[in-house]
Amino acid sequence: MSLNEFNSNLRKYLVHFLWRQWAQLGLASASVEKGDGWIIDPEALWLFSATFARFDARLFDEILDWILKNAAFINISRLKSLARRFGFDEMNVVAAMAAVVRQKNSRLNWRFSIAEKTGDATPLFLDVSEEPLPDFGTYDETFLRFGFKRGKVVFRGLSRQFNADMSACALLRLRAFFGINARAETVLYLLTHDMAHPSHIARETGFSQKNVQDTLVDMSGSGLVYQAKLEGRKKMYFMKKEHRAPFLYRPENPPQWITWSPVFRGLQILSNGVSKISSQPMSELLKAAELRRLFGEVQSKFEQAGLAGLLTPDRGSSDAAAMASFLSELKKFLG
Amino acid sequence: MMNMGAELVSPDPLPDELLRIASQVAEDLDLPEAWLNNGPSREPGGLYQVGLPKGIGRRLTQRDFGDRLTIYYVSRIDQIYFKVFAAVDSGPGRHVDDLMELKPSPDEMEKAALWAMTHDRSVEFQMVLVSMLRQMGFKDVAERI
Repeated sequence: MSLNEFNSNLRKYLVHFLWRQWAQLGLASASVEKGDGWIIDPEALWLFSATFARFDARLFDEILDWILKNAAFINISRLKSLARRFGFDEMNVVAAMAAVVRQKNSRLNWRFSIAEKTGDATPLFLDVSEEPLPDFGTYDETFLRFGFKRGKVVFRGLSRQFNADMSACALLRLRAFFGINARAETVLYLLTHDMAHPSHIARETGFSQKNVQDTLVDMSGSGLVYQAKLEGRKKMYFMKKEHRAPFLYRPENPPQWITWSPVFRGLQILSNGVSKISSQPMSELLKAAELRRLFGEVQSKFEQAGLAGLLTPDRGSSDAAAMASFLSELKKFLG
Repeated sequence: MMNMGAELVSPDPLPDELLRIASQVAEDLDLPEAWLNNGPSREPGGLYQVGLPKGIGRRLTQRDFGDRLTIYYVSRIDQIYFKVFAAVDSGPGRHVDDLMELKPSPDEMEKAALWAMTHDRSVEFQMVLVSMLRQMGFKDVAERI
């Protein structure tokens, strides 16, 4: 498997994965082929989609449609915080998406401190081998301001509001109840873990430690969130099982918490990195060394999400075998 | 839309009974209210109103679902006709993606381009159409039209 083949296969697979994730949130698609049983993080998914939905124009536009429909449940401050913390690329795509949605809903105060482009624009949509789609006709003015050429955005209005009964929508369900603040993520973390320290919750949700700490202290006053002292003075927080019922659709079978941001950022780094290596004139030996270095960088991101082993090829295995093994492991993990 | 005599008829307006049932289905299946609509053939410049591709009725594929529901699917060549028009009309985006997925031959693209030009006779439309054909690798077709 060549580097280009690997990247095309990875992108094709991730486009398919994105369709499935957004469909579970209510995006208009042929069908939801299956529920994954995990909680979907809408901001992390948006940041990830800004890279990989560019390989499927229909998916890209349906995501815009979903964001417009469910804008009241999107935490744009958190999205910016995750982007900074994990270093997501393509923020000009995210900003253009937000701007085009804002035009349809003037109540949204979604602004990004990204300078609008004045020079040449580049095609927004690409095929999986990174070739731009045909470039012709008139362009959408909002995307053009952010440096992208694409046809005018048409909102089909076929997205639905998220389904509160689905595991995937557990976070959105709590946001509908608690509002757009740290409470929804904090409570959801407690609902899906036995107990947790504020710093851990902060790291995994993208909020500041102070914000989470203050939220937990306030929530302790409700008699639904408890403190426990472990390891000296370290305060842990938890919710009793009998208090979980109203917050989860099926408390006896809670959805799986996954810290998506580092996973998605790792995949973004991988795809961009492979693209860079394959386009540069260098010896096969040097390419192999660069690829190993890239795998190491991506692996450290996956480990932040508690995933070990996806990118740790057997010693002595060829690059082709390592890439094939990675794709196979990724499919086992993401379904 | 097809009447009981197997003739294509204007879908504007859609029959009240169909809209009533579509609304019920939307409620039952949690679909958007306008999931079944006549958007492409609603206005004077709509596809039906300006003229569908010749022979489209003969090329439909009939599928029966039980005794009461029959759906006619548009053939591949007619999808190419519609997608060429939509792609030129809306610029780079999902219609171009769809068109490429249909893998049209030069002959099919030429027929579709000539049909699309009957729907919008403006010079601007023709210029964009030619530009799109060139970008998609149909330079000869672009020259011929």
